[in-house]
Amino acid sequence: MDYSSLDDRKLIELAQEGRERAFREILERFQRPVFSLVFRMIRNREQAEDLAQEAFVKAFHALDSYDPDYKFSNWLFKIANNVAIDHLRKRELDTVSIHGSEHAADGEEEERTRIALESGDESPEAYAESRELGGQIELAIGKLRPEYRTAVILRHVEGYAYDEIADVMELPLGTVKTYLHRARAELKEALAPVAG
Amino acid sequence: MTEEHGRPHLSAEEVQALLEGRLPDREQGAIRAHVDACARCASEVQAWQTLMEELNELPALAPSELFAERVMAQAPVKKSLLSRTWSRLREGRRTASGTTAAGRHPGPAILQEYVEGFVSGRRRARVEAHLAACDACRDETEEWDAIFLGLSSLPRLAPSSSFTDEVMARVRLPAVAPAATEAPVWTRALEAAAGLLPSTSRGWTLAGAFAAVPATAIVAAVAFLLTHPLLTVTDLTAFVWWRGAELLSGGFAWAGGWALDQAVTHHLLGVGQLALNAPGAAAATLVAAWALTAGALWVLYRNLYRPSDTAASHVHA
Ligand SMILES: [Zn+2]
Ligand SMILES: [Zn+2]
Repeated sequence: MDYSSLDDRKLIELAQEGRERAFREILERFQRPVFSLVFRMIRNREQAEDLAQEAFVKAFHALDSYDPDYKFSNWLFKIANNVAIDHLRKRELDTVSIHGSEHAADGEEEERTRIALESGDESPEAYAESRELGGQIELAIGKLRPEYRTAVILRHVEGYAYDEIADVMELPLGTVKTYLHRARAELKEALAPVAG
Repeated sequence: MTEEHGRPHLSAEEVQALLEGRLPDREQGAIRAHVDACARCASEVQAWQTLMEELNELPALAPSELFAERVMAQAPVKKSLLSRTWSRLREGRRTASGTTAAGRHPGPAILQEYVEGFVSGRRRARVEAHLAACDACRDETEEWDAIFLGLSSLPRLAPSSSFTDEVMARVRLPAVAPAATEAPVWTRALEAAAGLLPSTSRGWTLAGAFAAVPATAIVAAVAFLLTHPLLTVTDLTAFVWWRGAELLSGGFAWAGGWALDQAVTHHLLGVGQLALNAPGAAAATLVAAWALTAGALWVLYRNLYRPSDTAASHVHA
């Protein structure tokens, strides 16, 4: 059977039966969209690979609970976005607990802590990341709030309609509109000096 | 004030409280729900948000001359005290280009929707008429165009080539590896049984003591039977039953009576009688009875008196 010619619905049915080739075809179809979202959320290639894998593993193990009347990519993006957001929240908690500690008594100590933390990321992957996401607009997207980032990537990389984004992010349509308007306004603001 | 979407439109105070996170928890849900459902309040909130951000940044960065007008153009109906003050504040600084023949400047949301192609019909004609007459809005539209172009050129990014294999290695497929998913029943039973074993020397001592209790009783019973050759198992049971019925209260006596009436019980007694006639089988029966009694006592002891120890051994299992 030629799996690459199947539509999503039939492909998912075969995956629900546990066929390995169906799983591989799903990965073939969706790894780039899912990885693109997670990478732009996390901005670290190594961690993004791991989290994107986690999203697929979660989805594959939950395939029985997937409702075929629902768009598969929406369901998958929902899982991937939640995985990324959870990770960012945990990372934020870790950062807060480090910076919030009273050990950094003086400014010098604090500076040393900060440098140690930043240099910990100087892996070859971090270098690759800085090249891939180093463009002006990518940097500006990286400074948006995570929710804005998700909305912008789904809209402009995946070409999702507003109501689909609302569905993936489990938000009202009006909120998604507001997010996108504000996100673009922030991007315009950030890119204004470059544009001249 | 009109009533829409379950509650009146937001007051200026409520909008500001919402934006500054000062709303009481019990009101928060209803107000957010209203803003999500009511276009008028949503645009009001957005206008206020931009206004407040701009006010916060005012000392560091002066907003464009037309900024406040664009913001307020998005809040079409209700003019609040702050917006009137803001307009008056802006009045003095307004340049000649600020008041155009083409009417009010469209807000950033409308310009974005226009660039995205969501504005149609008469609204579109109005925006285009304004853009034809207003340099500032035309410039801003070009900036939005540039943003949308930049965003639309964002590529999808590929994970490493080993991505698929790494995911497949982490997936348990029912068709691929059925055996790996779950251990067989007997393995799990053995593991559970191992969890019941004592883990300290004190535990083993106690286990030994428990094992000795039924062993001693059975040895005594065997000795009694051997010294009274005329006594049969049935006689002994009848004696024990008679004594037991005397000792036990009504409920236990009934339960015991019920058990004795069952065919299974009679069958077991028959087996016991046979066992006595065949010494090898009798020995086996006694060993089994001893093991069962000791095991039952031990399990009872583990579950009733040392629950924390039991939990710990389950963790190890
Ligand atoms: Zn309203
Ligand atoms: Zn204008």
